[in-house]
Amino acid sequence: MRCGLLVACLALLLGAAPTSSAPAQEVTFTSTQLTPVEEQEWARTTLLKPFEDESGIRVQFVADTAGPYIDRLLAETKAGRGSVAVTGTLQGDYPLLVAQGAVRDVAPLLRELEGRRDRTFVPDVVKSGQISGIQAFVPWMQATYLIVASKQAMPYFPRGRNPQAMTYDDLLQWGENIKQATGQRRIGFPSGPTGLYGRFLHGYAYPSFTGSQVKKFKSPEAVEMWRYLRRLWGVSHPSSFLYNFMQEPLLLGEVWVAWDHVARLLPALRDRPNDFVVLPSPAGPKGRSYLAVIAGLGVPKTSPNPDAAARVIEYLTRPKTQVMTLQGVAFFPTVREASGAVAAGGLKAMIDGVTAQATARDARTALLPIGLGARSGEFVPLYVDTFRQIAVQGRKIEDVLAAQGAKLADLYRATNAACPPPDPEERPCRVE
Amino acid sequence: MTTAGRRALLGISVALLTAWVLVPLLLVAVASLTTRSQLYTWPRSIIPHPWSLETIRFFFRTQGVLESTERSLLVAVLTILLSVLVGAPAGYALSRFRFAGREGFRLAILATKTFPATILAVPLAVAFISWGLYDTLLGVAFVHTALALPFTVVITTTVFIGVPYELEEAAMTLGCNRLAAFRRIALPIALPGLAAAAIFTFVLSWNEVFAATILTVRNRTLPALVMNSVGALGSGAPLDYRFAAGFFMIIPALIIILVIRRYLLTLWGITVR
Amino acid sequence: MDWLPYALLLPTVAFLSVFFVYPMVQALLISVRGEDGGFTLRHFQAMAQDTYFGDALRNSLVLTAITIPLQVALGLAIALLVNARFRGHEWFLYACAIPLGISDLAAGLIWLSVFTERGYLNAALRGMGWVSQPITFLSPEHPGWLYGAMIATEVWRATAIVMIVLVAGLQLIPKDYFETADVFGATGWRKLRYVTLPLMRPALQTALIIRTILAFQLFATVITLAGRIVPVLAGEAYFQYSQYRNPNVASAYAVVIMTLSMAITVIYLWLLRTRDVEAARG
Repeated sequence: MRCGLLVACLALLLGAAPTSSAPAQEVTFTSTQLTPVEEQEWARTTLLKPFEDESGIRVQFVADTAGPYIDRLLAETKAGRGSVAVTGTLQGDYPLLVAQGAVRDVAPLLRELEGRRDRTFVPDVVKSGQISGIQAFVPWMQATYLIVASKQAMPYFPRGRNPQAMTYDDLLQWGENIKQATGQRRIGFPSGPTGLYGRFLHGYAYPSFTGSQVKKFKSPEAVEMWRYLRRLWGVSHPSSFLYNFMQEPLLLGEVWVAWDHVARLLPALRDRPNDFVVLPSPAGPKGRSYLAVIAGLGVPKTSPNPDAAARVIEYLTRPKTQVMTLQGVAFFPTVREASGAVAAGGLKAMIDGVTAQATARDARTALLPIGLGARSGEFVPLYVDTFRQIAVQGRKIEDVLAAQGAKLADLYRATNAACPPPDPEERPCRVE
Repeated sequence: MTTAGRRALLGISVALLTAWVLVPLLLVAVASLTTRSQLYTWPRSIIPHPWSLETIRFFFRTQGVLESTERSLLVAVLTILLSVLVGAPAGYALSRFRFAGREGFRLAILATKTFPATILAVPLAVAFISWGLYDTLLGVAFVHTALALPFTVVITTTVFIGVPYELEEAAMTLGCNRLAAFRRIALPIALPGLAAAAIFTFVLSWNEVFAATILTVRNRTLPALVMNSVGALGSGAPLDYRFAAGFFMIIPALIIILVIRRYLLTLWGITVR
Repeated sequence: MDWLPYALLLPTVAFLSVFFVYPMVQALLISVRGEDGGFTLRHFQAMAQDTYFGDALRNSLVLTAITIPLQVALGLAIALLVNARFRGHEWFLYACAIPLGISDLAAGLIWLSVFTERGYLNAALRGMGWVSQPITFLSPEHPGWLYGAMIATEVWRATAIVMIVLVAGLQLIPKDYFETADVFGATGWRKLRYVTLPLMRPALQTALIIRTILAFQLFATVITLAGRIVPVLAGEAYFQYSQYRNPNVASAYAVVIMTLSMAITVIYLWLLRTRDVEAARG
């Protein structure tokens, strides 16, 4: 009796299946970037619309978090058949994708784009896409991390010091001043399960205190740094372990001073541009280290439509589209012709902050580790686990560093990977 | 205890339990009708001033939300039908017959359910691509059925244990064959239990994020579309979107549970009790 | 009719084999497969040495042991109230069933908005003039609060499934049992103890098994309310698989979860042996 209904349902479902109904001119574009609902909607209706109009190709934009995103690409690679035509994700995800043979070498496409002479990719950024001998991606967007502070926190900034040239000591003092005056801990870090606090540890704190990301992992300078971080944790908001995106505690007023990825701070500035200031990340004894994060566009080996994929990539790296991206979601251009675009409001404050951080006299760029291949995912957790054991569980710093340092050394020995800058080029990277 | 005292106790318990369940829900419902700036104000007032349909409207207008709601409903209904059709016979067999391997079978099907499904992502997707089920609603419904089936079998077993076999035997001596005895006697009595299984299955399918995310690209169901971008492991959407998305997910579930609930208490005029 | 039970099981077996067991076996094998393809216990060692493993094991067990009795007690109370058939009992049943329709992600979100520093609970406490400064409930410095928040969320969210199974079970108890008990003058409590509960044993067993298995799969609400300060087994399996991209160790975690939930299920089946074995015919 129910079978009739079932058959009807089945017919409906099979009819709705895309394999039979997808138009020829449609490409699927998956991404780990632009995932917040508003940004997804922006990508579909603003960013990609002009492309669809001009090319007649419909772009199906699918944004996921990194886990399912990578699962899908790997599954399509293993099956040797896929539906993802073009894909965009962080530089840090590509070593794994290359190691599993999931993406094509896009060097020819990059040469062709450069041959158009309307765009000049920033050479360092292009270089970051060269992984295991292939050009894994065409540079798409850039971003970084910095500090956003609520204006009500400014009166507590250490007297006589310049917030725009903040040091790590200033930051700690700031937190202590706030705690003393209000009884509350108002500095916040994204130490939640999907927060990016690990980037702070290996890309900001380590190089600023030790001048190294890997080699000096357990050096005396590192011990000093961990003592500092333990004290900083003592003036940080006790719910920091829940924060994944700092925009929210900032807007709620739970946190007054927050360090995070630009895209995860921007919504606060957008909503209330007059309530917040943007500050560069702090400087330590070895300079003001910061990470440049690059997102790249790749073409899966199983791409059903590489030609259309190339057209999408061409469109997204046009100077005009890059300016649109900067103004829409505050991701910075990867082509020279797009820099210097004007913006207003919270976005302008953010752009100024990023520029100030990059051009500070003591600024130093740290780069993401490369060459760890299939084991890339183990790098950041090593730092986060070290933090957990030292600052949260209160274990002895030297012991934890010895144990975690051994794991880090193993990782580099097993993958024969070179040290990431600012460490000296050395392969495999050895932990001193 | 006096009758009046007992009634008062009953009234208080019912009121307290209802409040415990409903108050958090009301908070979400109200929050989803509040403007963003109010949600970020401290202390947040419970009653919004003014009310706002802005965020809810944004969700309705967001590309693909309506289509994905439709897909989610289809998948859920299909999952209910499949899991009851496939699972109820097994439940009946477990409740009525003693046979070799009975206990082993019970444990084996439960064992599949103890496996964390997240880890199946890549093998499952690879298999589905080669079987042509990848990115189809049918494929999602199959996985949801597989996820629900062990529980469907366990619930229906309990249900048929509660249906006296003597009644079926009586019907058979009165000339019904086995199938007719089952259909006329056991099935109607078993209805509340089947309704319980159906509610469980619906909810599982409606809220299932993992398989729906990995196995779909263009044909996304609602949770894959919405929950991924607002959930704890997803990307931080502003509070108003998160509340609105939560609310948006709840409404259809409310309606379906309302419909199925009636069968939970229906006795279909069975006079045996 | 010896073949009949097997024929009735066949659809389930076939379905599960194709859509679940086949990928599951593939996923399970990698927990003991080394890089060279041979057998190894290296991944289990890596899991045991993981800084989260011990805590995750303990937390999963503790949370299960606390929440399940609460859920069963509350679910039973609701089921009995519904069965009292007071006016409006249908709506009461409906209200109590609503959390079923709410995913773990959404439930976490709802309760997070209650418990955060700027959340509803603090707003209410302040509104009543009980606190001047908001309390930080969710902090590793107050593990009691943290566990309390998680338990409240889990009890709120997952009591409904226990309740639904128990309501269905109660429906199946013939009314004349109660009438007989009444004739013999049994009071409410004795009726519950000696008539209702024994007859509900199959339903209780089912509810317990379902809840226990689901409890070991739990992680979305925990992660929302406690991050990884309170790691749980299923959460660690997720992190190993999705974030660390280490499917081998993730699989090892899965094996631990399976073993634990199966062990507890067997204990339930044994402790709450039902009359179904005696009732079953062949």
